[in-house]
Amino acid sequence: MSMKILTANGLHSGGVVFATGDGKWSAFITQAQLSSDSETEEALLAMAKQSVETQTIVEPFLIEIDVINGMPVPKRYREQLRVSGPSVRSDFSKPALQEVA
Amino acid sequence: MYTYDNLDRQLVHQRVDQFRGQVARRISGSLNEDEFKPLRLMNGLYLEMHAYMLRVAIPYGTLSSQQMHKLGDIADKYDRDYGHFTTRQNIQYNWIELEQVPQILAELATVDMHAIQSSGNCIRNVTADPYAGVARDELADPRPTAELIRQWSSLHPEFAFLPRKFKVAVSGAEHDRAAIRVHDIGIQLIQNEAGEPGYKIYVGGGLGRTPLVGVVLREFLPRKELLAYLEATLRVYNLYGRRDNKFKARIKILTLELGIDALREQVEAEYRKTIANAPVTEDRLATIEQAFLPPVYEKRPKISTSLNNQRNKDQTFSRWVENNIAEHKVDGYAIVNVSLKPIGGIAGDATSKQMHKLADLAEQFSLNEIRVTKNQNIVLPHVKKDDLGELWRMLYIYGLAEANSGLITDIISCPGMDYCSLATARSIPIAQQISKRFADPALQEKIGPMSVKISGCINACGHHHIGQIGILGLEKKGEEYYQIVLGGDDSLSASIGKITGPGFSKDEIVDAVERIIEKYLEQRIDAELFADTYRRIGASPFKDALYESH
Amino acid sequence: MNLIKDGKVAATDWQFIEEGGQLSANSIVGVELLLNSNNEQMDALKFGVLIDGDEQLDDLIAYLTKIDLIVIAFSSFADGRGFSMAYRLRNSFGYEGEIWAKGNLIADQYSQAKQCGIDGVVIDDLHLKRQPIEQWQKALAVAPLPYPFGNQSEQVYHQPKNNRFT
Repeated sequence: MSMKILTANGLHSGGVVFATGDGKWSAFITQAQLSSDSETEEALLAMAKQSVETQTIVEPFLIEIDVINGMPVPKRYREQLRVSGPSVRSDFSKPALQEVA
Repeated sequence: MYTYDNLDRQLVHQRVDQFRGQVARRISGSLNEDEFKPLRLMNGLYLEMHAYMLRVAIPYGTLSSQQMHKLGDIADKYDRDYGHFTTRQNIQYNWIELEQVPQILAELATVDMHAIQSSGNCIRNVTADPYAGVARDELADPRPTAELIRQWSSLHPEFAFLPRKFKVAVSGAEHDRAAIRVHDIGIQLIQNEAGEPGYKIYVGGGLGRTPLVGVVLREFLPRKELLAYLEATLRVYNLYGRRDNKFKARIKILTLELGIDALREQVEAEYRKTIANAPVTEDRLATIEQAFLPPVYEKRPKISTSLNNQRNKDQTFSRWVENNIAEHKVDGYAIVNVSLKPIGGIAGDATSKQMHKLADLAEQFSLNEIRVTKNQNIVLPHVKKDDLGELWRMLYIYGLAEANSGLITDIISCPGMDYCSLATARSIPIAQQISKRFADPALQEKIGPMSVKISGCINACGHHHIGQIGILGLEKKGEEYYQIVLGGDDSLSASIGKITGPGFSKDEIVDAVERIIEKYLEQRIDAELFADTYRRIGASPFKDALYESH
Repeated sequence: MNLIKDGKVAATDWQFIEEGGQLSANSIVGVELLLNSNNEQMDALKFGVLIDGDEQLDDLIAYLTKIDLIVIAFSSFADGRGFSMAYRLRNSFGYEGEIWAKGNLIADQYSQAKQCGIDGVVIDDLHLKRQPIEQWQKALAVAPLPYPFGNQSEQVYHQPKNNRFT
């Protein structure tokens, strides 16, 4: 089973966030809870449902990742763009990836 | 230009209050996301990849200097110092936070601007010819009609929850610069044999998954019947448009599935039923027309000696005049196309500084008026030929003087996967690379008028179906992958481009475009436009060029 | 059921009758039952009909003067067909009885519903809890005025009087 993390957008900020596993959300992908089995996945989804109901986040979904140099990197390029920011504006590069240079 | 009266203002301010309340109820959970979504969309607010995106309406692409200044303020205060002008003559801000939006809308309201119905399953911004009121080939100004429809459709109680979005475009000139044939309703201002003013109504045009050219719904509709007729059309669509499949919900599908004759029968039957209670058009239209009377122009000679002298002295300036100036109906004046496509830049983006400068320049040189085009560019519609030199120097300093209007580097590109959560591939980097590949001004002029249009997904916001060269970005096996369509036409003789064959990787696509251009240059006769060469020689020579040596 | 009417949660005697029921006083029945009833029965009673599609309006035309209430089922608040159906009832068919919408419309739609000729909205308990009556009242009070046009009477789109065309 591939490794996954759970991502969503913050209701207030609209920004990309990741489930850290303890009911919280972080803008830093390095703090995302990794999941490699269906139990963890289900727990993450249940937690996300809670967060939707408490008006914290919207549109949560799981994404597949690889762990590279100890950091989760989304497999799909579109998810990488969500993490790093628009490829055409390096000045908008998000901290989520800058963390691990 | 139309100026708001008390009722217009009241409406906009009430809308701000209403949305403020809706945001508060969303945050408290009184409205869930499913309920909030159509409400926020009807105020132009999307949730995109990186943040909320706000689409501010610029009705029929016309705005004043004061309004452009405000757009610059918004970019500066609430966003990251820039905005993006769209293929429907609106502006988009990409880095918005939810709780800022009521305040942004309140600020916009102070200059009579809003985001009402710029998204959602309702009647959207009515677009029109960006040269309205000043084009030499104009038969009648489309803007009063566009403004009338805007007023009628804004917050219309019956049509806020349609099966899908509804887009209307209006043209009043010999050449259609509003792409009316690819809109849900396309309206052409015409006269009947008796010389009475009225409209030709097209229905069922559209791009996206099922690109279709609109067909004639009504050959001639008397002027005063317009709103009643639109109401009947919308009612039929609202009742019978498909709601089972989001991708089959536009009126173009209803037109296709019923057939135009059956659709027309329904619309005409509904129209006959409602005409007695129909909205009265004539008085209102007459009032609106007063707002669009031509401004007072100075009497200027047709030829500007100072302009010609300056052109002789400065080749760069001369080139800009050659490419970016369109003929004005008044002697001694010019329509200025300001390109938002600097070589290698992001199509349609403008910084807040640029917006403020454009506002200043419009005040100084264009009687305070600015237009936004569906090609993601700006027009200054009332510039004296004598002033072109000074205007150009200012534009040049602000990076707004690219001399590529209507040429190959005047590329239309949707935001694509860099910004948009619907996208399947990036479009902006491809546009940038093509722009750089063809940057040489002499080459651009040799190629001549050319429209390259790029969409980052099948929803076709880049209008690739109606580009002479259209590019569609898809995903194949996790990689970005680009299909080419050729022979699209967005004029009155509209046609949907045809796919050439297998697509190209992001590293191959620019070379592929170059091969098409080479084949065109090789095959064209005299100053034949690409579309005409394509029609004459067909797709095969281009396919060979694309795939044989590949 | 919770009926929002005149800006209040209104008490009501009306009842929805399940399929196979009887045409009785204050009953809201399906179209099939209506068509199986006779004129005497209809004339003798105050009754209502529940519809969910525009094609059903044609079934009702012959009986409109006998029907006291028409309830339009909305499959979702995002399905705007009911607004056109109400408009048709009022303006093409001249229906003068009561019209309700049944379905969890959002409070924000109350004003536009009224403008299309809908008198009441029937919502469920959970929905009323999340969107209490104050929100419905506010929606009416702060409701954006649409652009009024021409010779439309109150009947057509129920417009406030202070518009620029009357």
